[in-house]
Amino acid sequence: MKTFLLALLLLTGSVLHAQTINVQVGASTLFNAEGGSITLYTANTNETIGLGVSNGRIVAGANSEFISRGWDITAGDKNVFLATQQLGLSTTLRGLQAQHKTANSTLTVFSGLVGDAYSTPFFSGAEAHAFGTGFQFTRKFHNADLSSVVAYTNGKPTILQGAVWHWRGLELQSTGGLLERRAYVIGSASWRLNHAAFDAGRQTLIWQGERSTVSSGSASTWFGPVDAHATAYSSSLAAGQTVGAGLHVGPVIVRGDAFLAKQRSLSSSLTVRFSRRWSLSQFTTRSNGQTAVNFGGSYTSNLVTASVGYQQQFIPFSNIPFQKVLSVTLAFQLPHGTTVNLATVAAPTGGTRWSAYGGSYVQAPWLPATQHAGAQAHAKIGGYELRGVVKDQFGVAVAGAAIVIGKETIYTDLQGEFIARVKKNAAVDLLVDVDSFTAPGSWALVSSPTCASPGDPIQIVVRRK
Amino acid sequence: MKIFWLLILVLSSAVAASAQTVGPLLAEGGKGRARGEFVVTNNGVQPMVTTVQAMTFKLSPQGESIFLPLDTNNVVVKLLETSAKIGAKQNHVFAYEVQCMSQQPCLVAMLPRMVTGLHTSEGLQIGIIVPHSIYLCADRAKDCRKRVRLAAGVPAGQ
Repeated sequence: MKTFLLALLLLTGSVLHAQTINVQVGASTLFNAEGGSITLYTANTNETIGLGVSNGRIVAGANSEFISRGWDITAGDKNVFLATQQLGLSTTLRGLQAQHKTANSTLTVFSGLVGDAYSTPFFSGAEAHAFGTGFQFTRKFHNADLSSVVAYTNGKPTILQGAVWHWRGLELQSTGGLLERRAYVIGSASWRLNHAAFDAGRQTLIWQGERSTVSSGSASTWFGPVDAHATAYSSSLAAGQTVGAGLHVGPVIVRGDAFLAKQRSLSSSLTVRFSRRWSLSQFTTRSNGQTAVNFGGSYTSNLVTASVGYQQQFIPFSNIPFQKVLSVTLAFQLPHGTTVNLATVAAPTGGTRWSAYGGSYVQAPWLPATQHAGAQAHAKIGGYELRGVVKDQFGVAVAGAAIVIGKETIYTDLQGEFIARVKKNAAVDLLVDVDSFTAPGSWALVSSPTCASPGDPIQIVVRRK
Repeated sequence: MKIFWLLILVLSSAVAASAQTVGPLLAEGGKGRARGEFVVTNNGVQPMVTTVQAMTFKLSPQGESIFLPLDTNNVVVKLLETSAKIGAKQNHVFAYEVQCMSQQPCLVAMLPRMVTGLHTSEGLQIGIIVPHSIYLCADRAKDCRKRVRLAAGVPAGQ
């Protein structure tokens, strides 16, 4: 609660600068939580504060996101996920996270207190007591990606190294190392052909301290309207196989699947798409000598998206590995950016949980910027002009180049020209921010003055890397 | 379920501005001088960089605008800012001063070019331009725009 009051105090000043406020509220049996959050969009920062009740306890969280010198920085509460392509450290941070991206690499660093998160689509809070720090570095090469994660959280070290190698349709992935002092070696291979695909993998799932390593292999093929697949799962807790086939002719889709585990079950579905908006489905399941028939459907429009259906999912933490799961999605898109969502999710131990949440954007009514502008008088435009042009090495104008003059970032127009207005007739610092160009591509600076005065002809040359 | 309906009630009652992307689209003035401003609104959920370029325009008899480089011999245009990065669901006011040195009406278009999204290493840059048109007459008489359009041969009401 102290955190919430402190965050509220800090954000009070930001409210006056906020142009737009996003409000989210909701409730969920999946998270056993009710609550809401407010995000303030100011000119340079996004600040979020959340408050709710989770498992009977009041939880709160707050953070501020901003960009400084090419680093994307979050101060406050944040869910940190430092991962190789397959496995990663997930924790909740109350501190500072910074991320810097270039064309071929990403570096993320964090430091602060780590602990437990209360995260829902409509609010998030944190409880953090232990020290944590670490980094993730990912580097892309021509045919491969390499990722490293090094961290120290809750008094436990994490050192993971991951690699992905791809060549035409073949992709190999592997990750090994320590994740909070536990040793992991996982990997997967997939091979995609024109009419077939083969996958093999070994992954580790963790739920409430329980760990299950699942090995799986699958083959699938498709030719015209027909497709078929076969998959086998094996874990320390459960094992199962599934085979199935489908046929897609015009608006009709027919599927049949068999699930073989401790018990056998067969399922089939028939879906008819009546139009771009409407479709209806029938699901038939036979298990333990009993047959169940269910119906579902979906409807899509600009105002509402709704779907009801059943899926057979592999749930390794349950006594019954394959379970029929009800899947409901209902999303309203109301005017003024308002959304309302209702969705069900399969719980990791089986059963269905639901979440209902929504949000809206509210314009800050106290700002003159929200008033209708017109040919009414405003403050006289004074000061001095700095004019310049940005071109590439061939003399072609670069539109959307970002130049930092003093503390302001300005952008070039279609002719590559820019005009900045300064108060004093004195030299100001000038920096070309190639990472913030709106022009796509990787850019490098060739030549630019480091400072300029009003009246100076500023010539900046950049080149594509 | 009670919470769900409460949620819908709360969100339905939220007040939100429905602003056009560029507004107003037209401005007119007399005495050869105008101070004005227009608002660019980013209705999206990603930041939007907007650059503003001033150009002269003339009207065809069909009422279409033909944009030309700024006639700096007859028009002086000052913009408080020529670019801005506008956050998600935010707006930005661009203020300007236009002075017409000619006895003929000066037609100036502020062309905000809006580019949505963050920097990408690949792709195509797409900008949307929605002009804010300024009709500036030398005299004090009203309806500068109407008179300019009639003089250009644009039928009334088109």
